[in-house]
Amino acid sequence: MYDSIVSYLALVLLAAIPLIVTALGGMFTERGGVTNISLEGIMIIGAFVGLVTVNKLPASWFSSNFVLYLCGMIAAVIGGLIFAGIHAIAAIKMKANQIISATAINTLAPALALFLTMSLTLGEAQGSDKILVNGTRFIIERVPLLADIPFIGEVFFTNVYPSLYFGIAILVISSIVLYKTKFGLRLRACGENPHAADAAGINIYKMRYQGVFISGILASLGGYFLVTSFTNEFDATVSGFGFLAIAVMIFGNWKPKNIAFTALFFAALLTLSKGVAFFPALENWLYPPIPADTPPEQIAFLTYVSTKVIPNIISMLPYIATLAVLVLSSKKSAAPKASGLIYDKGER
Amino acid sequence: MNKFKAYFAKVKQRMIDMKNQPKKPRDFSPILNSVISILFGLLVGFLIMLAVNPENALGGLAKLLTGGSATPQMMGNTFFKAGPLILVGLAVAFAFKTGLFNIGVSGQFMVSGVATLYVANLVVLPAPWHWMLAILAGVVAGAIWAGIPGLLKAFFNVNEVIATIMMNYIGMYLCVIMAYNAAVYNTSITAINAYYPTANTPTLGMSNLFPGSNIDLGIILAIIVAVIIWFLLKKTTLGYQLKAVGYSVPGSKYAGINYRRNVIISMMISGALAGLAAAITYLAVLPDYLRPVNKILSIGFEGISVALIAQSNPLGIIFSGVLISYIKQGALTMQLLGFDKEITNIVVAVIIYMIGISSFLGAYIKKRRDKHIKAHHESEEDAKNV
Repeated sequence: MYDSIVSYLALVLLAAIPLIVTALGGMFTERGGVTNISLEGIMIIGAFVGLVTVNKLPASWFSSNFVLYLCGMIAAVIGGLIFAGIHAIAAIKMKANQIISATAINTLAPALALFLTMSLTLGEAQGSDKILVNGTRFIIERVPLLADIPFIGEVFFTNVYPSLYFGIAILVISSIVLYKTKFGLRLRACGENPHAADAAGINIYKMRYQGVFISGILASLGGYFLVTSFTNEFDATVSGFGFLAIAVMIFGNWKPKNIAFTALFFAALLTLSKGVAFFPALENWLYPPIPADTPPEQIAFLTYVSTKVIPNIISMLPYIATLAVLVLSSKKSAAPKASGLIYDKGER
Repeated sequence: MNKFKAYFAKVKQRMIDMKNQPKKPRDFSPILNSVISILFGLLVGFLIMLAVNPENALGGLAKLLTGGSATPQMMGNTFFKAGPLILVGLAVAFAFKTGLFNIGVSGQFMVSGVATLYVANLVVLPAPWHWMLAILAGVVAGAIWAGIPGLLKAFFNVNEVIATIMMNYIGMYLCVIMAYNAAVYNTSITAINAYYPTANTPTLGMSNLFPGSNIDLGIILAIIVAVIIWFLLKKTTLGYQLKAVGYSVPGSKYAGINYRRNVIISMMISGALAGLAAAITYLAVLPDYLRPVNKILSIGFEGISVALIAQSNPLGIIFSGVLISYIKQGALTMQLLGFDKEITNIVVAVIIYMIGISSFLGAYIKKRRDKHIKAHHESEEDAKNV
């Protein structure tokens, strides 16, 4: 039982970190007043650029896999910044509808990644659109000393991906930046009441650019963390994690701490269908073995129920739960007031 | 009496004045914006092809541009595939008009597809009634699936973007469960399809026009529906109310428009359109099969593209739907030259982006031109003064 809980928690953290990081990115851009539903696209680009870098750089250049992992992160961030820049120019400088330019990026990112994979044969083999991930090489097996702490040591310091520590660091830094620095205060002002902020001498456009660029950095890292630790193959998709991150951000009321808890809750439900395997008693209850004396005409139906119906209902749970909680919490939603609105100096 | 006469004379004079006024030139700029954006998108696509494979780039572009109409078969298939694209484009655009962003068209499409195919495979009816009932089932299922986020938005203020994304996933898993049902699942194709021919949408003999293609009633239905939606939005009270809610929620409430009712209706109509798209997709004689896989279909996102390229104009969507279908068909032939078909989505993305920034660029160019003309005049004046 103890081991099962440890493995399940590790799995939940694995899914939660990319969600937290990406949702924090969304939080920064929305707090500055620019919506960014292109998080999904930016995640794909971050994952793609990071993976290609990690796969193509000769391993002999690096003293350890950790340095290689860092190189992948840097490359991912550069990719994310470029795509965030495309969105920022349209949304801030050109006063375009923010949904439109973000949709363009969401369309462009997977197409470009697939196109380049195919044209430059970056995939596993000629004509394959799948890039091999081989993320297990980045696993940190044991952190000395800390791994000996009971429970915490096993969850946080044994067989973990570096993304766990980066994710936690980003969460802490984000809270500090948003609430304890001049930059954070100004950014929040831009998202709440840009005209007042402008009157107070803040350059709205500059703040908003910075907000969008931060979302580019974080979303691309989120994508990179996701594919290196959660999947074996990358075929230009992050399976909707970018949109889930937006849900997490809204559900977390645009606040770092709430976002972290929401992401954990979401990740716990998201990994439930996999996690059931860690708990034999629960598995037995959910998927009771078919009794030997079952009439043959019922066997097909019972197998259908246990192999198709129940697992898919479990998979549905996080989404149903989100809707239910949103119903209960949406009345007191604290969205930044100017989020998604174009800022025009001359407007009253 | 004289007073009246004088008044009528005045009115008559005003009418004459109005008649004699020079006609205002019609404003074509939205269409021009779209056309320029499309050309620019193709240019970027060409440049990327040039960068990847310079020798074949020109040939590839030619294939991309002509492939969709190279043979009557390809042309027929362009129209065949355009039908669902037009309908999902309408679904997205309709919600846009009410200020709602329906990102859940994919989910509505999948759920409707299952409903359609259940009726197609579990009900036995003679020909016209069978496919009609199957289409109706799809439309109703789509309306219900989109109506749920509509209800949540109207009564609980749940953000419709999140709600429809969640409904996408719930719909996807529901779809998998329903599709594996032994009563409808076709193990030989590992998917479900309509196996009674009475449920297939009629081809109306159009395959004689485009021999070898799959063209059927779908595209005609799509065009008729586009015109109906245009009429609904432009000429009816309901359309006016829906748009009023889209322009300003407090304003429409002040005007006595029932906000909740309109949000729900808008989402339901949007979902019904997505459902119709699914029905004509899966009831075709040679359809895309509905496969139970854990993947959100891309069709809903293509609908966003179709709607944006036409700038949410229902009649424009007929053209943008055909355009995207045309480029996609062209890309299939282009693949023979070694270019990946993903180039279409790159082109589409650039087009959307250009449309997004076109109003800014238009204003910028106009400003530059006015400045130029003004400077020109001033220099002429200066010349006179000297």
